[in-house]
Amino acid sequence: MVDGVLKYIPNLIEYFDEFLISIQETLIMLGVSGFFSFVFGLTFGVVLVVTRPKGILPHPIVHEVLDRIVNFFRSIPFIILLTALIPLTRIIMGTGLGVKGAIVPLVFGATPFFVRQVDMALSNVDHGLIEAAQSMGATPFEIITRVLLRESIPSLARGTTITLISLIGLTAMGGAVGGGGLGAFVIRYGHNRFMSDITYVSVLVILILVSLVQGIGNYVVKKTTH
Amino acid sequence: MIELRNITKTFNLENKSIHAVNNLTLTIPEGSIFGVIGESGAGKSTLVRCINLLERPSNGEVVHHDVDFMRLKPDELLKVRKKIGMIFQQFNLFTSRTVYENVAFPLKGMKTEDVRKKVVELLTLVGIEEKINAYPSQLSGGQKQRVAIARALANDPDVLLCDEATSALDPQTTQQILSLLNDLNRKLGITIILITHEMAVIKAICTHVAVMDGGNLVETGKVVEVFSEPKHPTTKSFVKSTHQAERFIELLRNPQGTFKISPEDDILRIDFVGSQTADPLISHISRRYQVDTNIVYANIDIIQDVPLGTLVVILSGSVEGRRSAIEALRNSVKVEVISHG
Ligand SMILES: Nc1ncnc2c1ncn2[C@@H]1O[C@H](COP(=O)(O)OP(=O)(O)OP(=O)(O)O)[C@@H](O)[C@H]1O
Ligand SMILES: [Mg+2]
Repeated sequence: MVDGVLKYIPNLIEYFDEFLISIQETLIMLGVSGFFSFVFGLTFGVVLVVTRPKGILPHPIVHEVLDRIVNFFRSIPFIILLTALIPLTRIIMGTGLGVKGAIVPLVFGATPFFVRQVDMALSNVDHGLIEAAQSMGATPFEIITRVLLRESIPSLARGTTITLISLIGLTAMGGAVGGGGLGAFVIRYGHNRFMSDITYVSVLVILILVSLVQGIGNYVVKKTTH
Repeated sequence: MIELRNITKTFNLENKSIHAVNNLTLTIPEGSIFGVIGESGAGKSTLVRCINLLERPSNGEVVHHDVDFMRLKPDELLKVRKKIGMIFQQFNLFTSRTVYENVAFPLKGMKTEDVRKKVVELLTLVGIEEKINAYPSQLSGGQKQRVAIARALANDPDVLLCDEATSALDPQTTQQILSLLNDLNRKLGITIILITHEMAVIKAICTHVAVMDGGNLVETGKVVEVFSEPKHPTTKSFVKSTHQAERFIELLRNPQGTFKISPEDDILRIDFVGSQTADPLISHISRRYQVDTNIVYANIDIIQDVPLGTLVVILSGSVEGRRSAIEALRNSVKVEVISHG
């Protein structure tokens, strides 16, 4: 039985070590860039929401500038971002190649997307709840942490899920250019050397990864919605 | 005692400014249940939100216990707000938090066991302790408002602001919440400021009332006094809204209507307050002046334990008898002659 299956994936077996390393690289890129995108996205998203004219800490200049920066980066296609950011990547990571080289553009690609997710999630918090908190003497910081963020956990989980899933796609692309992860692995063997079994199995792995993220996301949303 | 002095609130929109509250001065006595009534857009919410400075007045003073809130530093204002509870039409409970966590929200910084004790005490006070672990989505409107009241009372405030707190509730639940507020006012001595557009709410529990119209205060005073002798048209229309006397009189006047009034009859409207009881009075004048009295409409409101009565009476008899009867009545109650025979 096992022999029967193995017959169909000869190349994968041959490059199995590299396959495992590629998966590991993909996970590292995903984890590191996901972490930074989450932190930056959440921070900027919160700033964007609270500095709005009707927000709890209105600040037109900060709001306007941040809003434009986010829109600017959102409108750049990722593939252009990849090459355009190489100088910056070299400064930050010491190299523009491989897994390390992919992380900076990935963060730049995913953060603006997540900022919008956070923006949407926090804007949907009923204004009445903010008023109630204000009437109880809550400080702006308390309103952010104990009302805005807390109340929007399900929407934030949803936003995180779709950001991560789109990040998986970006990771494959980023890896292909910089040379790392499953994307690069597929280009190297599946595409350039016509080893289609490598392509199929790698796609399968990515599919599993996406389903896993979606599944966990759905679970968190369900557990936190009351 | 809360004193609002010359409160003005202007909203500046792009193309115009809205004067939501216009140079309004008002004193809210300690321990009163103070109703603010007015039509939609009259500025009630804006006025009440000016008390805890959720809305900062464009001008004026908000003085409570000799402190002018307008002069407070931001952190002092936050402290003051903890002593002014507020509840809302839409309850505004935190959906991600249980009843317990909602009530515990303003109790940050206290020891866990003290918080628990306080929360249980508050939930018992408002009669909803069995729902302590429920989420707001699992509660009815009335239950949500009870939780909101408990939360608003967490820091032992001496003022409770209620913005249309019963407007989203059915009549029966409204009554229950109103009587809860009444109990809290008696038990805790808390001053309650209550916004509504329903006369019934004012009549049910308020001691004092302020009538607002177009951002202005048009009438204020004790509920009984304001409503037994309404002066401003807005006040009159609110009083009218609660009983059918006016509509009944329309019906009497309608020649095609169900009532056949003989052209020799007088129609009187009699209003009386408190201990003046009209009934023996009427049978008395009826005997004394040889007139027939037919009470075709009667309504008694009880406001703050004081009865406010309205009668519509058809008087028939000799011209002389009727005139003397009306004069005699005028000595003790308010009489309005609706039509002379
Ligand atoms: N934040 C705001 N910006 C601009 N205009 C406002 C604002 N808040 C209230 N207004 C205006 O001020 C006026 C008074 O509003 P307010 O909400 O105080 O009325 P209200 O008496 O509470 O009415 P309702 O019974 O409908 O709640 C209205 O004309 C309203 O449109
Ligand atoms: Mg209102």
